Amino acid sequence: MLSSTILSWITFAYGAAFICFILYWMLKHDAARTLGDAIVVISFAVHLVAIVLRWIESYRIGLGHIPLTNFYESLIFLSLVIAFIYLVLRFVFRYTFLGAFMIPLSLLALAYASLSPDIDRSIRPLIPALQSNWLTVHVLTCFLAYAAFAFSFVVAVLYLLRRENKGGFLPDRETLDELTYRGIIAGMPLLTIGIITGAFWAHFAWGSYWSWDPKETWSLITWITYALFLHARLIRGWRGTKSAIVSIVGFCCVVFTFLGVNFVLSGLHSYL
Amino acid sequence: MKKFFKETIDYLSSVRLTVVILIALAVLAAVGTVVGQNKLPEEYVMRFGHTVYRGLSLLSVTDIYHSVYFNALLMLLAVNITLCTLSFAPKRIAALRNMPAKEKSYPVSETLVCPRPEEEVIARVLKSVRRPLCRTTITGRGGETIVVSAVHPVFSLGAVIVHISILMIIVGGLISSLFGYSGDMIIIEGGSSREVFLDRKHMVVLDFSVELNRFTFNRYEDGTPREYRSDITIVDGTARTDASLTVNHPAEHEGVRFYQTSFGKEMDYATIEILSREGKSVFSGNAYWSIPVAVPGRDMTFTIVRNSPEFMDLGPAVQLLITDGKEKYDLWTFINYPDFDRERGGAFVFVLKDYHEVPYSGITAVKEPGLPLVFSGFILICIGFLFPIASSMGSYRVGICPDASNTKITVEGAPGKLKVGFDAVFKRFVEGIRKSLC
Repeated sequence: MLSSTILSWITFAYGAAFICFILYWMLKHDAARTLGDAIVVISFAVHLVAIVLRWIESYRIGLGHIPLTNFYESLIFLSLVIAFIYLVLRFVFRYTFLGAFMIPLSLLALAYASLSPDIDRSIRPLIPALQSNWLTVHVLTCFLAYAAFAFSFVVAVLYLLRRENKGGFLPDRETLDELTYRGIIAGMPLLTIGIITGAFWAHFAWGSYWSWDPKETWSLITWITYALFLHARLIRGWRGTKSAIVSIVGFCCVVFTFLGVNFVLSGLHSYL
Repeated sequence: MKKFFKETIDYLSSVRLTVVILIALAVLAAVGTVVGQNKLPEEYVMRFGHTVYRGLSLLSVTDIYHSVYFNALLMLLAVNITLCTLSFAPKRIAALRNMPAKEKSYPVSETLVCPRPEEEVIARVLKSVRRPLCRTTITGRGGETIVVSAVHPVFSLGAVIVHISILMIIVGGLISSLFGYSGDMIIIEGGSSREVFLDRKHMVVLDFSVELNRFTFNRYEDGTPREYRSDITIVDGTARTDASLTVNHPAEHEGVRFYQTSFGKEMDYATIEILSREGKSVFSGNAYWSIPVAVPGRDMTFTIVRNSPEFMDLGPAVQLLITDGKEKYDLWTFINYPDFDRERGGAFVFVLKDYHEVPYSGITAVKEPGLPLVFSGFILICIGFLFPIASSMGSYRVGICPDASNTKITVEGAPGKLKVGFDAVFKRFVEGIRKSLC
């Protein structure tokens, strides 16, 4: 399929951008960063086009559904969303240090989707439970939340690695600490809306808005972890290392909710 | 005593307790997903062995989300949230009406001078500082006019709204679990039922009945399921309402929702022939499950007590319970092995001639009286979570007073919850005022 072929090429483009960002990190040469950003912008556009092509393809073969319905499609979409959040942070908020840390996440998701031999890349018809308008908004909000938490995780790790405010291209520790918090206050409403749109959908599809399915349960555990982060920070005044560790634990929950549940546990939410 | 009471209330409303409860809930929830919930005992025994399974079962770990302690924790969380919200909400709501009494401190400031007259400057500044989601107030003090632009205090209610929503969701769930139910109906095509089986022991009888007119199962070309569909009629007294149930499209009647959940084939009736030992037919007729059939001319009845479309790989079979005079016995008979019962050596040979199946549909019937409360909570929590976005904005104080023939403008700013990068935001704000004055 054309879209899958394009996406496997895009994987290499993200890889090239990642190398540029690493060079920028090591050589502090702005040209490397500019080249990396240019590659990300182009890759993102082509990536988006490939997903739209896949969508059109699904109509052409008579199935007609948004490409968000299996493992392959969720990975390529997650990769797109992370690249999108990177571009927003880079060009709207002007954070120039993120390339070397966020683009590899995009790359990882896309490389896994494009190169793993265990993944089915074909377009399949929709099983009855997935035939719902809730699908798009549920997946979109959850993935935006995942991407926001990924950002929070990245800056939390950088905070822990940055021992003192001396030189380098990273922002100072106070900024990194606050960025951790910003990622979470952006992710939390999105995750909440994601869980709730999922609950409305489950109400119609499964007969119950909440059935303690492993995926649901882990999304709640993730939500509780970030709720604890907010309480610790806003009421107990947690900052710095402690706050960063909670953010990292939270992101581990996100990864387990997204991947772990499907690989380790079994449940209703078998299609990711 | 009073002191003890106060300390208890203080503890129950503390954030420390919230943290303890949330961690406990998260850990128990995780344990539940790892152990697996409501599976067959054999599966647990296979995975953990007998002893561990007995322990897990005794501690309700195999049904942890319905266990006493899990729900007790949820109730405790509800109490904690209620008390905690009551301790901070009134202050924030009161702040809606009157401006904050204490003066805010503004860490950054800048002074501008403009040749325009004071009134015009005030008008221009007012126009320039107006921001969405913010409230602008104007006061005068000792010849100085003070314009304050701050996030509308309504946005400080985000936490109050979120906490109230969580309470609504917990209480709604509680109401549903106390006064509602969820169970299965098995209805064969052409049949009707009003019985909802909640579990092996409990059943709800509806005030109306549900008829299954037709069950359809469509597949895509590659064999993937496309649609499960039950065309039903709800018969309530003389009123008949048609509905189709498909996945994602339930039907509702009198507060009970109906969902398409499963399907299959069920024995409708079996044709049984009774032969004498010599092979002469004594009786032939249809029998339905659990309904005794009398054999004419003899003091004999037989009843189908069990049936299987595929009994131990031997094809369709039924188990009959026979009452012959005072004698009672049971036997199995197979459609594929008509001579099987002859081996028993009885006076009569029972032969299964036909095994007739009809499609059935498994329909889940749900009554959730707490649902409106839960759904209102869902919508409210989404709204509440958007409020803090506004509180990230800074607040500004602009003092305007005449200064000789000019007008002096002092702009002061304080960041909101997000402090990093405020200097640049403040610069842009001052620049906006400067431009409006040219």
